[in-house]
Amino acid sequence: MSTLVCSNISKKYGEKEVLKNVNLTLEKGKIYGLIGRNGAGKTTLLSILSAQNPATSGEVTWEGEKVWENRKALNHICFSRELVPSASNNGVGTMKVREYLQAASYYYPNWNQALAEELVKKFELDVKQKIAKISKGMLSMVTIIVALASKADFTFLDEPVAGLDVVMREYFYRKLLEEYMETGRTFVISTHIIEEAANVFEEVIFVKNHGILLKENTEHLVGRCVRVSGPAEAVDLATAGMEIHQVETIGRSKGVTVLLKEGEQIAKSPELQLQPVNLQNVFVALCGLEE
Amino acid sequence: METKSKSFSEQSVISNLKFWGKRAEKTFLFFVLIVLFYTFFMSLTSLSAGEDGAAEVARQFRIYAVIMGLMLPLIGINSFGVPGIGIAMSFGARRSETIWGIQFMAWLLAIQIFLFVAVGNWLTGGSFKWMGIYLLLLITGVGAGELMGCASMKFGWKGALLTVLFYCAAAIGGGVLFICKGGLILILNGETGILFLPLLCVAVLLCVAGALCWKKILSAYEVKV
Repeated sequence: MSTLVCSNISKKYGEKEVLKNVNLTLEKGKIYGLIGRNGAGKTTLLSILSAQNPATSGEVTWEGEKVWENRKALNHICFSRELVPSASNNGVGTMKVREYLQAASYYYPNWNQALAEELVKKFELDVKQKIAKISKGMLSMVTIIVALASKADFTFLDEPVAGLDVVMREYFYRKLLEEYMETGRTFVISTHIIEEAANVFEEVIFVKNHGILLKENTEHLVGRCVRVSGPAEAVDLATAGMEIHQVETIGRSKGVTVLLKEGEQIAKSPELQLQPVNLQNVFVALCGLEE
Repeated sequence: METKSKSFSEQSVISNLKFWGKRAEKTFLFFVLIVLFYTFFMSLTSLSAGEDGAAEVARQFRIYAVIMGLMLPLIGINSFGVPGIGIAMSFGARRSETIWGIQFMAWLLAIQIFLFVAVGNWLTGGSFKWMGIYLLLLITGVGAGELMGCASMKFGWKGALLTVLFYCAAAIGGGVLFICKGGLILILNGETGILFLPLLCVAVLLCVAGALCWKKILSAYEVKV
């Protein structure tokens, strides 16, 4: 099975350490959600995985071969970056949408022009417009088109739905699933709009404190997370020794989010309320502000 | 997913030829339009003063051909070329192929400018030696442009500003020598050509330094678009 592996990746910008000894294996045929707070290092990780950014130490391999400067490996990887165009230089901002997509087609060997055209039509994109002149939602559409039409085995999208309206977001996720079902490509999607994408992610990767906090099957993770509330003493008793997050105390009542380990169970009690939590709540519990 | 049957080196060459070639064409068109417009416009102005039309067109053409040569490093390579690096690499282009890609763009631009000016020079009855000097200007321009591009990538706007100031000072200095018809231009046009060869060596060395700098800068470059 084709895999993309990063081993002991660290990245420093001057004295600032953005990633520290990251080990991650991405398998072919999965949709991963890459979730982390702003500045957690998600974009840096994706750019290192795609050899667009050199790591300070560690290495990335595709099917056992180093990705760095390896055309064979890079042909299988696409990192469709979030576009931040400026009209002041002669960079991406001054390119027309058509020119940008054409440039992408030069470099991706499996580029699917028909799919690109279909998406342009569906998104109602004006390809004659300069990239600096289009809205944020349209910029997202352009990155989505590049990602999907590249047909790369490992495709990374950084905030693909930023600025997209709800109709287009739904269309994107539908198209993504279609593409996934047809081709078995691997997608890694970095997003802050978690709940909407939760059903799409087969696995989630939480990034925290310059590293990978967890990488787990989404259903399994959500399944082992539970919100326990009730009288403080009863909650403390029921959750003693367990991994507790997001503690909230109001008077004598207490609420905690528990991340259950294999075999652990909350003892049922009439005083306690047990509520399932969604992926967003799991993320907030594990990566939220520490009181 | 199976990649198409093209070899990897062939694929690199084709993608670079298309991407950087297109950027070179676009930049060249921009230069040519400027030269043609100003040559035409300035010649008309002089004609109204009662000067010889053909001679004036030839003079104006040479002035703007030189300006186009001077713009090669600053606008051509630095302003139009460098931003393409991030774009190409964001599509998975390797660093090594991007280094030759931007150099291909610079040389393609220089060759096109040379051919365009050579045709104009021939049509307006210019000398062969003048084209020799012009070739020297273009080779120097490619090297200078590559070094300027590296500086702006390494040090951001400060590097760009510094190189622009340095380049402008060098261009003005050269221009003063040219206008004053001092030793440089006389020797270049002279029979001995004493300075031509050393200057050509300096220009080639600049190009080599530029290529080495690209290698150094791009090996640690973080892609931004």
